[in-house]
Amino acid sequence: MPRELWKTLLAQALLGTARNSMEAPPAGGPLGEVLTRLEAGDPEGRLLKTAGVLSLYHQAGWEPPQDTAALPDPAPEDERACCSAGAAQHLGAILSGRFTEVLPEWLEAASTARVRAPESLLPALLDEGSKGRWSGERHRFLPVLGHRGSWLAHQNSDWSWATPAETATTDEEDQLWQTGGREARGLLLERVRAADPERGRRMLENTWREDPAADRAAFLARLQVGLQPEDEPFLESCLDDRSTEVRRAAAELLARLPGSAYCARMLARLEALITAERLQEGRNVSRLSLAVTLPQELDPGMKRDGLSPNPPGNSTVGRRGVWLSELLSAVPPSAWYDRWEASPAEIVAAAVRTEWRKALLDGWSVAAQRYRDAALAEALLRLGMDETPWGELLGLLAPETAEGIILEQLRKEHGLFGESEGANQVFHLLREHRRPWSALFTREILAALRRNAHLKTARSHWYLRSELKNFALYASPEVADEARQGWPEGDQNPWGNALESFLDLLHFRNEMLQELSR
Amino acid sequence: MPDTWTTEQVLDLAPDASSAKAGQGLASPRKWLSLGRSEQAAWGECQGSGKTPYQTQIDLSEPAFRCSCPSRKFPCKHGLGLLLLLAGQPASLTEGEPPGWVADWLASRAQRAEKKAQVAADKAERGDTVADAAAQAKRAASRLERVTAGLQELELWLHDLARGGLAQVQTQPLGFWESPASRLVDAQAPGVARLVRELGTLPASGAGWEERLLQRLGRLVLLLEAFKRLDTLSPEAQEDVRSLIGWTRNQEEVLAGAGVRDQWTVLGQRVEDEERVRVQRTWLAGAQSSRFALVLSFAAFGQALDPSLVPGTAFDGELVFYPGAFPLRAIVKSRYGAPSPAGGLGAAASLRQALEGPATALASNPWLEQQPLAVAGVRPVTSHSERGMSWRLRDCEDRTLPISPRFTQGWQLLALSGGYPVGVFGEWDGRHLLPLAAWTPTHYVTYRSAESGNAA
Repeated sequence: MPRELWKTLLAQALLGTARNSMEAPPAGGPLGEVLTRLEAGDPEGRLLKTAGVLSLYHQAGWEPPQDTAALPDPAPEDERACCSAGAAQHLGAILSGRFTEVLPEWLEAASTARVRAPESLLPALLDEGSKGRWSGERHRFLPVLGHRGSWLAHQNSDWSWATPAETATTDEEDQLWQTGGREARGLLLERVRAADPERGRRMLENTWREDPAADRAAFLARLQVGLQPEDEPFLESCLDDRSTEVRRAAAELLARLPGSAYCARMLARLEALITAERLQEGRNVSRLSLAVTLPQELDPGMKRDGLSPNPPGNSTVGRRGVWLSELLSAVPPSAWYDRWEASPAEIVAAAVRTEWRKALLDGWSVAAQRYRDAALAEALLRLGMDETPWGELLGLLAPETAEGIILEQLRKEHGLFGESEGANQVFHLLREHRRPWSALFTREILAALRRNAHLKTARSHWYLRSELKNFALYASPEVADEARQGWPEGDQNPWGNALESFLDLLHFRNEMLQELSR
Repeated sequence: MPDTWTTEQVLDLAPDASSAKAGQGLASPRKWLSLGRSEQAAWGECQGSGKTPYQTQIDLSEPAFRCSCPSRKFPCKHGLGLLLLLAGQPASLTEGEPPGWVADWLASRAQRAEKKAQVAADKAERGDTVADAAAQAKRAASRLERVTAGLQELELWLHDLARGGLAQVQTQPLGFWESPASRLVDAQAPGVARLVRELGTLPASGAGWEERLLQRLGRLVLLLEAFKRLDTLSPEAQEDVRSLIGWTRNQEEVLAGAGVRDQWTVLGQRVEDEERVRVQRTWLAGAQSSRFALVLSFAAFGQALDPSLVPGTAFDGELVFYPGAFPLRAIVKSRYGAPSPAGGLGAAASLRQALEGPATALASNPWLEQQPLAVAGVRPVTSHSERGMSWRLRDCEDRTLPISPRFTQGWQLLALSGGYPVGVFGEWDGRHLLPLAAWTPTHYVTYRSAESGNAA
């Protein structure tokens, strides 16, 4: 038998013919015939030649082994067409590390155009999406990965975040909710909540007892999607959970439900602390005045409702001030407008005149965000206090309003960015305005940047130079061509490569979006 | 004009990763002052750092590149950028007559090609009578003598090895293999020297190394045996043995032979870094002749490899094969017209059928190492073992073929397949398949695997 023969040869070869002279078993048939034709000679030559012939015999006659294990079902057909070759080229460039930061924009535009990424780029896209920097953006990947991408992700545990398919059946979703990883389950929960909030919450309640605390807190936070009054009993019960994180997440959500008992409790506490009156100032002119006392201590009810027992030590308002802010942040701002018959601007102005302005404004900044109160956000922004959360509040405004506030500030500062980062409010506002700029706004900002670039001191405006690349992410691609004009040329260009990358990125976005909007 | 180029094909032409990236940066119409194309060529003027723009041009019939920039990379980033534009945004190139500087270059290329053909024809006509035949014969005789002596010495060395036993080699330093190898180089048998060096890598190649070493030793001894009986072999087999040992064939001599005209599909390509030189292996398949061909291109590091054979395209042309019992290596003698996208391939319907090719080839030339293998209707599958994850191809009969662990694009292949059968072309070495291309009814995708540590 050839197999036997090969085994004998191998054993002989390993030990060496000097120590071993086993008789090789004879082979019959055509193989035997070839072997007998090999010249008889020393045992070494015979061993090696026989091995040569036999290995050829095996290689030529090798049959691929059979494997009948079940294979995964093929990927379902994608309804979405693949993006154009040009768009694929842009995505390839982004994934190879050029302009990685515009990936969300490509994904968004592809989603809007109802196209998907080409098969060849799916592994790279899945790898990129697995990076921690995109953990908040994963939902943008899914529609562009398509069925093929989800199918692929099913077979690689590194990509499990991408497994929920866009059009999974209810059964498949329940199955995934039972067995999926935290990331995949979280995404699923958000998706279900967006479509059917009741079902989403019931899914969470069903596994509530088995899920570990860290998962429960993470999932609870996702209930923000589709948050509705019907969630209140469940959330209220979560205030008694063993885990601090779960309790905090529940309080955070309850503070966003305007009619909840939770809000009512907070409001009742505040009513004992703040009194408002109208002071008459001349004829038909009155001014709102607020009298504020701070909470003395935390009672058990306040603790249960999630107020911090030990606020951070570096707080400039003291722990009692923090409690006041926390109370205020949980009450819909509109409650005050009605009670005090005052506009957001009046309330903010009244707060500034009190001793506890910082605590009041901090609390209302958070309340404005939770209740998406654009009027209050605008009033707070126009006040221009240093520690205002610019970005979050700007995000609440209509884009034109946000841009208007920034341009107003720019005019106040004579159409220029200041000499240094410090005394430079327009720069801070602009940096925090992380939303697409209108063409008009972009032109104004570009004009200001150009004026700065022509200043003798422009080279020392390092803070502008280092922010240019981020500006290019939001500037309107419409003006990409004219953006090139009017800069100091050659050696006079104060920002060198940074300016070049700014213009490059703007052009890349312009071409990318045009390609996807065809 | 068909839309021949894909982004992947263009990026594969890049001499290194930084060129590819720079080329992508130039794949934007606004980087160019002018952009144009005709049936045969594409051109553009790109504003560089200097005053005068660089003039970049591509002869699409091969492709061939030319650029007025000072870069020594080839093709340079401008050439790549221009071709990427043609692939991704063809509308940005204005169709028209080539301007003077492009037309001049195209004309001079045509002239040179004609001249070259003329010289070759002249040479073929004259025969090789010019050289001093006597001196040449003397040189040949002396080389034969040295090779014979060198191979005899190797045979003794191999017999010593077999007498002492293979178990001893695992503890030997690399110099153990290097000294006989370098003596073979001195004996003007570089091909055998390479085989001996490769033996040296086996003891450290993991489980089963003894078997692999014994197989290769056996083949090597058969080669020595064949050389001893060279006179009794057929002329084709003689060619195979001589070329394995290290005799080379003059290209012009080969080109003088009869050509095979066919529609040749460029199946796939692979670049290997050998000592001091990069070798590009390009596999072709003929539509009518239904045979495979291998075109080699050599370049020193940093030098350009021949970019004219683009995987995934097909061209009407004439190939001349190097003589041998199972001719695979070939040279492109002439091409007619511009390349077109690769069409349907006559791939085997099952793995067993596909493996008949290599078996037949092995019967003619037992020393063939990498063999072409094309199979349709296979699905890539993963399997997990304690040694990690590996890939295999599974055909319609549920038979499986292992994919080489050197193949780094298993997930890309699986993404292309989506669980449906695809066609795969690759190099089969008797143990593993290294996929170089795969196709579906709508796509033809080529793969490059990182070779050695030299990738840029």
